[in-house]
Amino acid sequence: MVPLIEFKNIKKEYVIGDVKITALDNCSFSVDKGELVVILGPSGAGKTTILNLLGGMDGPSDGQIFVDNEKVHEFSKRQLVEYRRRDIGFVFQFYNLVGNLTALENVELACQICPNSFKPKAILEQVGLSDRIANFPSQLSGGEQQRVAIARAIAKNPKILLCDEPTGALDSDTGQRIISLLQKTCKEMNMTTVLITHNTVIADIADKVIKVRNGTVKSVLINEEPKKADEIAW
Amino acid sequence: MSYILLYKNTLLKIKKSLGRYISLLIIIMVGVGFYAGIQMTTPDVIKIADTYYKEQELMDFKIVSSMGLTDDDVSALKLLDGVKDVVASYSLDVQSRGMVIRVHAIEEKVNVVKLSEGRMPILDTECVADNRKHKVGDIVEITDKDMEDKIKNTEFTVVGLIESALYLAEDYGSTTAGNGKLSSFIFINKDNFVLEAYTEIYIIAKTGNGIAAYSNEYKVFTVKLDEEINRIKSDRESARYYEIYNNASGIIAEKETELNTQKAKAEKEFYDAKKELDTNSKKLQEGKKELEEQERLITETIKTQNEEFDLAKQQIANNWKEINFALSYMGLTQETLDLAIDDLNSTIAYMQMQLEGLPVDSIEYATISNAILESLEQLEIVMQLKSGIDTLSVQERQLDEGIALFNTEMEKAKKEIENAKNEILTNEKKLSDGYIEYYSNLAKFNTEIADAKKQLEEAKDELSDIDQPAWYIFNRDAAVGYAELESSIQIVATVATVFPLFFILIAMLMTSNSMARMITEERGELGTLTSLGYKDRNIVSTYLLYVLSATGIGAVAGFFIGCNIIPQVIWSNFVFRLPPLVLQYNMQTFGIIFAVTFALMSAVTIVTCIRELKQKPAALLRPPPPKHGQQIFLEKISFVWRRLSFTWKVTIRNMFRYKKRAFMTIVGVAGCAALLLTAFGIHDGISGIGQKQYGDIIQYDNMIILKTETNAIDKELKTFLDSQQITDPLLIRQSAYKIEINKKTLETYLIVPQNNEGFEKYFNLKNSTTKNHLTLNDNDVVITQRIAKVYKIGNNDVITIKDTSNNRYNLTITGVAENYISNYIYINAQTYEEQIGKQVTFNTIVSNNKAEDISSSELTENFIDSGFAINMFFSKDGIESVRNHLDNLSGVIILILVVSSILAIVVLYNLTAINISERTREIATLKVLGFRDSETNAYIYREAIILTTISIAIGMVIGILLHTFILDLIEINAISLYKNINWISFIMSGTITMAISILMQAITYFKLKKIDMIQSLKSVE
Repeated sequence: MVPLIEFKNIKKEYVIGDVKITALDNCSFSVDKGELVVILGPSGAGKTTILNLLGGMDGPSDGQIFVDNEKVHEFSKRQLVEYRRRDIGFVFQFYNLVGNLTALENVELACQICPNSFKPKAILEQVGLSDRIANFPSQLSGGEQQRVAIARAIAKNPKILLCDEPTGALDSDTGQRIISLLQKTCKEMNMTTVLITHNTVIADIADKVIKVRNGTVKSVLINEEPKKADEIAW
Repeated sequence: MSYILLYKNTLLKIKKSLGRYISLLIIIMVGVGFYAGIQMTTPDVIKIADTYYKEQELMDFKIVSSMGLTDDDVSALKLLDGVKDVVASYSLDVQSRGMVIRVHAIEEKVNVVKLSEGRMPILDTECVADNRKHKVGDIVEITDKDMEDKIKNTEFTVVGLIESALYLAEDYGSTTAGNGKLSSFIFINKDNFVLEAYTEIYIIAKTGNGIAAYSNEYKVFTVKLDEEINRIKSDRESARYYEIYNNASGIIAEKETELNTQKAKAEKEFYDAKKELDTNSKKLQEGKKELEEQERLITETIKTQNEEFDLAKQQIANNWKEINFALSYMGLTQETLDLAIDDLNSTIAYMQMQLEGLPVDSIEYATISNAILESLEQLEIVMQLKSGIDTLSVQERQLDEGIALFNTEMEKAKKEIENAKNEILTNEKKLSDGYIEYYSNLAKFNTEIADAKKQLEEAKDELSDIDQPAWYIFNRDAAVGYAELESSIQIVATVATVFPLFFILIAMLMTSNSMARMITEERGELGTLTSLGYKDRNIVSTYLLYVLSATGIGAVAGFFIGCNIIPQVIWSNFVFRLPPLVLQYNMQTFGIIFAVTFALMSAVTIVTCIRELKQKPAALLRPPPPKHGQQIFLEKISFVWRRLSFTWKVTIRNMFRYKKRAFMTIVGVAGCAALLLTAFGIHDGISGIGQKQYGDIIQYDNMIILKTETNAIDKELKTFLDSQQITDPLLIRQSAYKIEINKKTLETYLIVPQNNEGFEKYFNLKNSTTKNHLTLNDNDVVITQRIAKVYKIGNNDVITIKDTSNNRYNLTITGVAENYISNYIYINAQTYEEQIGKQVTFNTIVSNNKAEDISSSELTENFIDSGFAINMFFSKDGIESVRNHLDNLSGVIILILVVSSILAIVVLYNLTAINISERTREIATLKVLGFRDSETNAYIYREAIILTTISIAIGMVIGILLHTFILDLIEINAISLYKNINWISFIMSGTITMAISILMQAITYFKLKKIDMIQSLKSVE
């Protein structure tokens, strides 16, 4: 079976002034469809760079990225936009909801640009916010806001759900519930989910844990029996 | 010293946010610059104009009289209060090469000319001339005839080129000569003028250097002086009348006396001549008589003498008969007598010889002796006969000689008489010639005397017909362009009072918003600094440094750039013959602007800072509580809301969410649109009035100013009008009056038409507000709109008008008519007679002309030449001249357009920059979500475009109000402008504003593109 995502010898260099910083070097991994993958590493290890590359926000300096057999590394800017639009659902650490839109509208905002999107209301119901769809972000708690963000990401019906420290701004209980939601979504909707975190606890729920350090993949661990989200504690 | 780092931080901040700093600086610069610049324009222009007038000693008043002016007038004027100098001078409007030029006398104290090239005239045959139309070395020739009693020379060599403050405009004004239009001017030595009286008097008022032209003080002063002059006006007119009257009647009396003397003398001469002729005639008669007597005497003498001669001849003939008888008796004839004598003598001699031989006693002897005796006797008889013949011969000869002599004498006498007769004949001829001559001379003389008497009578008649001289008092408006400059200045001044205020208001609002925004953005830093223990005032001072340095630089730069550029831009569109603009930098104005700007900016900064600093440092360190999203009113109208697309919903909600920003955008952009619309509107108002006045209101083609007032168009005039293809002439009376209420004077014309039909045809009077047609019935008094506006009067108010002789008349207004050029009061003839109390006479004809093949100037010339008219005006020229005059203001319009656009650019740039910086995160998120660039932009644009559209709509409304407000002010201060804004102006101002908005969006587009998606991953600051 061909993996959905394949990183092959990715190198990413940033040039800031005269200084060349190598963020990723010889980074390779793959993700199968429907997998819940956690990319784990301390800050500065290159997690965010992987996220950027995978999320189509940036291109690699060298190496190849295949997503669903497409050569993402060769994509032009325009193609990257379409890639983000079609294939990626993004969950931010700080939710990044549009403050001026209701929960429903925030979801709609994403749906309107995707042809195969789900019904926003249904998705919100799915994330357990059916009674708060008319509320503005400021009227929602952090966990609720993140649920809206997740709803917004999955409503697009993306190939990959990318989550950047989704619990980073939440207390542990709420964080756990969010992780649970993500796991549930991944499994129920067979949605490939890549979760980036520095929180090792979260790694237990993953099908696959990719540890990153100093810009390269240190290890890839496959959990034969991933824990349920409500089984973990931090 | 511990604060140095704080301020260094400020400097770094400036460097970092250079765009914001510069936009702050530019807003202040443009605001201050525009305000200061436009404020300084009026003083700048007035300053150079006033300096020029003072340097050239431009007269304050000019008096012209219909009968000339005298030194007595000068003396009288000199005595008036407020008069510094009075100069009597000359000018003549003459023809030169088909153009009319004005010839002035060079004066040293007034209306001094400004030499731009060459030198002043020395000889009377030299002149200095208008530098626009002449070159040094040109010959100016006066082509009028009969100039001998006006001017010495008629040909002048241009030796210098000049400018004169009497001619400030591009055109030269009108004249009553030639084609009615002045085309140039020259100045010549005063001695050249040989006129009997001065043509004008110039007055220089004692205004002093402190009072500038066009100032209120100047107006007050000159109005007072005008009254003073008017006070003596009628006295001087009468004095001049009597002077002319006495002068003329003196001449008449002198002429009469001379005539009588001459007549008497001539009559005596004629009498003498007659007497002599008669004497001669008598003498001639006497001589003739005498001659006849003499002739008779001679004839008589001849007769008597001839009788005597005949008697003597008879006697001699008788004697000859006796002698001849005796002779024949003796057998002799006169011829033989001498022979007989000789025979006898020889016989005697022979016998005597014989005797001697014979004795004495001899018979023989005796016989011989007897024979001798006998012979001797015989001889003696013969001798006697002979002597008798001789005597008789002598006698006969003597007689013949006497007769001949007598005859000769007589012939001579006859001849003499004949001569005398001839002489008498000649004399008789001469005498009769003398008589003929005498009688013809006498007849001639009588005719001459009769003529002279008739002339005298005519002169006497004329004397009683001498018009009362009329003074025409002009102020500086007589200098061509003076008034136009004033109205232009007034319009700029009006714009200067309103526009920049509006402008500075917007600029201030923008700046304060921008400042508030910056401080809010940096609340984290504020919190840090506070928590580090910096005092509030230290922190505030860093922001003050930021703001006030921008304000300071902006205000200084703005002030100097504004004062430099704006007056020049406006001035460059002023077409006046004035020296170049001298820029002024009024430090007082600068001080005020600087202080006000500083105070305002400081206040904004301090207030904003303190508002933030009131919070606890910890609170400051947290992000500001996000704006609450909320339902807007529109959502409640669900059938509308539901129909809106999603993005529209977002846009609309965003606009309501950021109310302050939306408000600022609306203020800025609406302000810009309003300013643009007002500027375009003023331009419309300016360009519209010519057409409106001379196309819509005034319907006649031309106006003919008659030379003499009349009651009706007589046959002669009618014929002439027909010959010039003038149709439907309407007589009107047009006379100048002054309205004076509360020291505000307004000049107006009183128009009285001869009949209502013609008036309706030519004057399309409409109510100034309702635009309803106004008619002119008995007792109607229609004033024009500016009068109503200036004095705030309307229907049923009473207006007092004053004629040139200061007679006052009260009229009750019944209508206010739309009008743009000049002020008019319309009444009909009946009202005129009732209110003014005089029979109306007409001085002007308004009419149409059919002629297309004849130019305006030719037509004017025909009319002036005909002697019927003194000038002629054409409505189509009116449109043109209004346009030219008001082109002066295009600089102001352009300026407003440019400055408003700059304002709009800066405002929109600022707001968009704020918009973007506030929403960077949102935008980055959208990008991550896969929004295409165009979609991201649209998300921002739509809002901006909608706001701009709303702003434009609001701006149009404000613009209309501002336009009305400014036009009202302009109307009070200077001139009525057409109040309707052309639809194109709406489109133009909307389009420009929208274009600027779109331009700013284009700039935003690149800014948006640059936003990094990584921003979305960062924590909230």
